[in-house]
Order: sequence, then C-alpha cells, then structure tokens
Amino acid sequence: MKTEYKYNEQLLEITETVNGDDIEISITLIDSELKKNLKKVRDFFDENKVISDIYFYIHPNNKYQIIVRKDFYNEFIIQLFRQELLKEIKWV
Amino acid sequence: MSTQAYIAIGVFLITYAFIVTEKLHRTIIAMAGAIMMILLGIVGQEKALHHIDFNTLGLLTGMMIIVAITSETGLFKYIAIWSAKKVKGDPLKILLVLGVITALGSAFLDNVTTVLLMVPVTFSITRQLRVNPIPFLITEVIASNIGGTSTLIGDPPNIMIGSAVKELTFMEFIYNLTAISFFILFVNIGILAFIYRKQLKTSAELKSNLMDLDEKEEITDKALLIKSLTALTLTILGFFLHQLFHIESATVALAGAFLLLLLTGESYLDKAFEKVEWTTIFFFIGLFVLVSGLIETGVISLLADYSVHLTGGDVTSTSILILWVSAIASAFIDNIPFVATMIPMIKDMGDLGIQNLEPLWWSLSLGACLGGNGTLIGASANVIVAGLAAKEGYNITFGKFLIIAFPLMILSIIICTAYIYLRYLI
Repeated sequence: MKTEYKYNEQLLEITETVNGDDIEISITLIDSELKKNLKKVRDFFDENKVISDIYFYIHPNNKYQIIVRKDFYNEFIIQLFRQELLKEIKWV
Repeated sequence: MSTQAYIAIGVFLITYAFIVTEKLHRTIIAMAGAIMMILLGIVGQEKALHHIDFNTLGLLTGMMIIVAITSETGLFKYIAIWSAKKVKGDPLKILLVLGVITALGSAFLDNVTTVLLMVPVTFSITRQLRVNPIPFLITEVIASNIGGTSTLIGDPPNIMIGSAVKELTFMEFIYNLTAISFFILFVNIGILAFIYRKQLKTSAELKSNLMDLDEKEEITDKALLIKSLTALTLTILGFFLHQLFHIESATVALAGAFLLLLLTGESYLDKAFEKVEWTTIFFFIGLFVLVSGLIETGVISLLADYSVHLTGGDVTSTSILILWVSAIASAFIDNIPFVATMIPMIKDMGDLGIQNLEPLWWSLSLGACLGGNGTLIGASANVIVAGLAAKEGYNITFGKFLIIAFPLMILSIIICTAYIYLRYLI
C-alpha cells in the first residue's frame, strides 16, 4: 500500500521524485520556525546506525533536499508527521 | 631461563594467538591474560599496577571526551562540505581534500574517531555527486593511518612511545615525524587519485547541486562549538608547551577535557563518558600487565640481547630491522600489543650498548603506524570503515584493499628507510 499525506501549504512545500531505489524529497519551509522540527527528523535518522537511510542536504532560503531510501520512506513520513510537519497520513 | 619465564612466555603467546584469531573481543583476552600473569605468580599485583602506563590511559581518555563533545557541533560536516565547495564539487579534487582533512584530523584525534566522523559525510557527498564512495573510503583509511603517524597523540603506538620515553616530547614528534608523514601522505593520495581518476566523474548539474549547499546550517550549536574549539585549541597548545611546564601529555588532555565539561555543564557529562571507549582503555591495561610478566621474568632482556647479537649492535641494521619487522607485523597483527612488547626491548638494547636509540624509536613508530595500511585488518580504522561500507552495500574485501594498499604501504616504508638512513644514520 502507498501512503498519502497532507500538509499546511501556508507553512511549507513538499515535492517528491522517485529516483531508482531512492525517493528525493524537496522541502521548502515558508515558516522558519519549522526548522527545529525538521532538525528533529534529521536527528532521529542520525541517531540510528544506518548511514544511507536518508541523506540530508541544506540549501539556502530554507530549502532542503532529502534523499530517502525506499525502505525508510514510511518511517520518514511518520517522523515528519510526528514533528507536526504533516497534518494527515493515510494508506491508499 | 627460569620456569617462571617459560610460563610467562606461554601465557603471552596464548593470549597473543587469541587476539590474532579475533574469536573473542581483544579486551577480554588481554585482561584474562593479565589476570593469569598475576594468578600464576609471574608478577605481583603491586608490580603489575606499577607497569600500567597511566599517562597513555589519561591521554586517550581526555581526548575521547573532547572529541565526543566536539562531534556534537556539526563541525566536521561543515569542514567537509566547505572543502568540497572550495574545489567546485570536482570528485577528484574532493578525494584529495577529504584525504588531507582525514589526515589532519587523525594527527590530533584518534584514527577511529576521525574516520567515524568522516564516513557519513563522505557517503553524503558521494551520493549527491553519484560517484562510487569506495575510492574515497580507501583514501580516508590510508590517510588516517598516515596522519596518525605524524604526532605524539595521533596513534596509540606514538602515545605509548612518547609516554615511555620522556625525551620524546610532543615537539620532538613534530620535528621528526610530521614532515615525513605528510610527504608520504601526498605520495599516497596522489597515487590513489591517479588509480581512481576514471571513476571520479560527475555531471555539471550534480556539481552545481553540491555548490548550492549551505554548510553554515550544519553547525547545530554555535555556543557549544565555541566552547569546544576553545578547549581543543588550548589542549593542542598545551601539547606544544607541555615540556616547558614539566607536565605530562595526559595532564594536558585531561585538563582540556574537564575544562570543556566545566564550560558545557553537567548535561554533557554522562554522554561524554558513555562515548569513552572503555574497551580500548582496558585493552591497554591488560597489555601493560601482560608485557610486565615478560619484563619481570627477564624474557624481554633476553630478546633484546638476541636482537643486538643478530645485528652486531649496529644501530643502522637494528633500525632498519625494527622498521621493516614493525611494518610487516603491524599489517597483519594489532600494532598496540606489538609496540607494547617492543618498547621494553628497545630500552634494554640501550642497556646492552646501543648508544643512539633515537633512530630505533622513530623506526618503531613509522613501522608500526604505517604498517597498519598494509591489509584490511592492519588497523582499527580499516576494519571500522570496511564494516560501515559493507552495511551500506559497498564491499571493501580483504583482497580489493590488499591490492591497492599493500604496495602503497611498502612504498611508504621504502621512503621511511631512506629517511631514517639519511637523517639519523649517516
């Protein structure tokens, strides 16, 4: 089953592209206050012992490129939800 | 030789054999061997404690605490991304700069810690550029072992030698080993860049993605970074000046560590102590006691006597012999127990009439540290990086590493032979 999510478009933008075994996610934070929430998502994956689960790249103007390994995609989405970056997740 | 001496040799060889086979953790084996030395009456508990070099242990513990806290700041990620951008995202140049950064890091920090900090950021950069990370990882392993050779605090063999020979201060290591180590580093990474040049290609678009990264955002805690850099700078300054103030290197490292804890407060205390590699500390304790059994029963003196007899007490042949034996041995077995055994032997050679021990000490250091580059099991950093790479789906096999690294190690030791001969023996 696939996951579908919703977020507050006034606070952030999320786009996804599938690239081989990875999913590349671009996040732009419109509200800078959300930076600490996204950092908590990164910290969650930094603390496990898997290096290639997600690669986190920070660009200027609150833009983030995150390369997520397919087997960690659901976990990543759950962490975004946990840090209140998503409003809703559902299986479709 | 007395019966006690034969028992000491037996315990030592059995322990060594178990360490080499790696069936059980080396710390358990070394401590079991040490306890056997005491239980069998080879060495008394008081004498055994006397043989433990607390300067080595203090230096290692202090540096581990400083690194544990500094690594929380994002400093290493910042440096790696900043450097990658400075070379315009060109993979070949990134290989060179990451090699140099790893060597510089390893000169002042433990090699394993340095590679543990470098590997994740290497995977991140190579993924961004879509290039194979293996050439970068192999370069970093080799650079780490070479960089560690360049200072007293860079690699455990140097810490042990510097601690055992009071005249060999931090500055003496800088005068005698830094230039040659960095010469060897540039030769090694130059050859590696040539070997891997065809694999290190990427598109202009991926380079421009890397150039757009904001490395400043990688610094997660600016206040902690300032505190860490203050403590680290004062500690390194302390190493440069420790002889002037007649204090040991362990005092400098522990003073730096606890100054940092004083600045950061209690919240970092538990985390920092959790990251101290207590298994390494106890491995050293076990080895010091194990070797004390050989010293107290006169085995080390006999070995020194035999070696001096073999080389006719000639300092040139003894130095070259130590350099090559240390390098070949360290390529296959742990260099820490090897150096722990060699230190009292070289000291005894001084008592047996070899006047100038200095070339022997530098030969031991260069051989034992650089020898670790010979095989995948030659140094802890090699094993750690290979393990991390395998977990991420990139296999650095024993053979793949050997083909690249063993000839480079032999070349490094040939350079060292010329250096030792030209600088100390003519």
